[in-house]
Amino acid sequence: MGTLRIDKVSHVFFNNDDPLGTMALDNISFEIKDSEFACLLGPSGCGKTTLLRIAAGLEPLKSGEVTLNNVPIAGPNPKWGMVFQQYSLFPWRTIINNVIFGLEMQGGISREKLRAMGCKYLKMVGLEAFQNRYPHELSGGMQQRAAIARALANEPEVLFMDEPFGALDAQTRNGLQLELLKIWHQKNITLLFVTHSVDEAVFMADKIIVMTDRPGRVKEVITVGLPHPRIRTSPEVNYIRNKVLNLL
Amino acid sequence: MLKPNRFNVKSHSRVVCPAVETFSLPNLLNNYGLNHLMKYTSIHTAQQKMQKSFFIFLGLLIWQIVAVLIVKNKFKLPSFSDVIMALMKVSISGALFTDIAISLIHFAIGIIAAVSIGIPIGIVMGWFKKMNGVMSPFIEILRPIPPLAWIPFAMSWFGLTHQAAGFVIFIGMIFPIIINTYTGFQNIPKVHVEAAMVLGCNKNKSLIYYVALPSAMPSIISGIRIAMGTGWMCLVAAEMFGVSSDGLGYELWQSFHLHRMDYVFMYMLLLGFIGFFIDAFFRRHVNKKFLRWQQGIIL
Repeated sequence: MGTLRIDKVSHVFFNNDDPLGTMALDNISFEIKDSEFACLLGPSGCGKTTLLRIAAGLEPLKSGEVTLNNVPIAGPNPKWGMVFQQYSLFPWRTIINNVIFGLEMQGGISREKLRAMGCKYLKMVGLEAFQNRYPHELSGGMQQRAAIARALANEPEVLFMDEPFGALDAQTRNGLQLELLKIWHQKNITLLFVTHSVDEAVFMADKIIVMTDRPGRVKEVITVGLPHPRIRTSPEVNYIRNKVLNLL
Repeated sequence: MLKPNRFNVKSHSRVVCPAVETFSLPNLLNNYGLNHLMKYTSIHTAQQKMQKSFFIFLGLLIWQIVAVLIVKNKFKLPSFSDVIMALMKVSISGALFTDIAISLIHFAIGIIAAVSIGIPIGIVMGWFKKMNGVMSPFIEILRPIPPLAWIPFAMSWFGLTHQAAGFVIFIGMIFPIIINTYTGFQNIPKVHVEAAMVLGCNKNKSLIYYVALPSAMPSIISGIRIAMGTGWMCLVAAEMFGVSSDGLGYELWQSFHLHRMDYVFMYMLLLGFIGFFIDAFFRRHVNKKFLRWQQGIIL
């Protein structure tokens, strides 16, 4: 639903100990086309999360430009959703009230309508049976699914995901990857997904943006070009996995 | 009776590890698949209640015996029966109920003022860094002043009114409320604020209302509970030191001047009971309403 363009973005972190600053991102440029699934891949500490946070408007943009459909991104906005690495559901709200939070903020929607819309998105992630539970009553995987539903409820044009499955076990993770792919097909949403798992990136993405270690630079942009569903152990997938691994 | 497969062999497979769980009879029955025996567990709790009241009775009996047979001095230790008699007298004359009502009015003035002023101050200090810099020096200097040191000013500002006693209680209560609100705001997870921001909750006002306040609510509530303890202490002291000419604290002090230690003891116990009931009421109603989401995490 939107083309995201990152243009010559650099970022330097300053703190009291080192007045010169640490270069986190160095001249990053790439483009994600409408409804494309892009993975940002790189070793931990290479600035993937920083880049994502800048793109989502949570971190100030110091140099370069980030545009969505040629409109610069300034500050957080429900048009670009975000799923965090940590569990970010509001613990004082039930699952359904978490999901409708964004809609509630838009205002002017009746309670019943909000509830119905919330149910729709919970159904999408298979959690409609848990709508009246509190987040702490759900497993980690379920909480992340609810967080995805919460981000989708705002109908964002781009969804930023910051290692959303990083804290989960391998089985849950595989399940959620499939579910995310299903949702992505349904919604035709532009996705920027941060991960440090090569397997995850190769299994899901159309485009893999491989980053170097600090300072983060774009090493190579690999177009995967394999149809879904992919088989994790097929020769084609393995070929791309090798290609990516050689870059890291 | 609790041996696993005596009643039902199949249920044995459901025994995971009963030792880890609480060793209460209902839990055990549940673990061993003996739910149908659950109705008998009420005997168990009834028995516990019996035991409890027996020990209370024993304590009262010992008190009576010690006071009448060993101490034999009403000024040093009034007996249980003396205290009961004192309670009867003030109840019959009706003086007791006016005093309780007046003390509760003092307490209500204090708590309403402290909550409605303390929480906003804590919010402003916790949310706006600049305001914290401006306000915290004042708070830090005023806070260590014992609330009772304010009694002279309470009298000079409000005279011998309910407001004067309420003011001293207010001083005792406001600082724990401010500090706990502030701390609650400091500990809001950043990810919750950011999540709200990307979902379209951007203004300070709505972020405070929808994210910060509910997130800090456990801390605020425990601040109010701590404050109620200090407030109750201040109530007695304020009434004793003459800010009021009524109330339980005032009557306690008057009884002491009349050397009626049975009355003193009766008022002490009453203060204890009323304080306990206020706290129990608070826990039951306020905690349930505001902290329902925490059940299972902490409670």
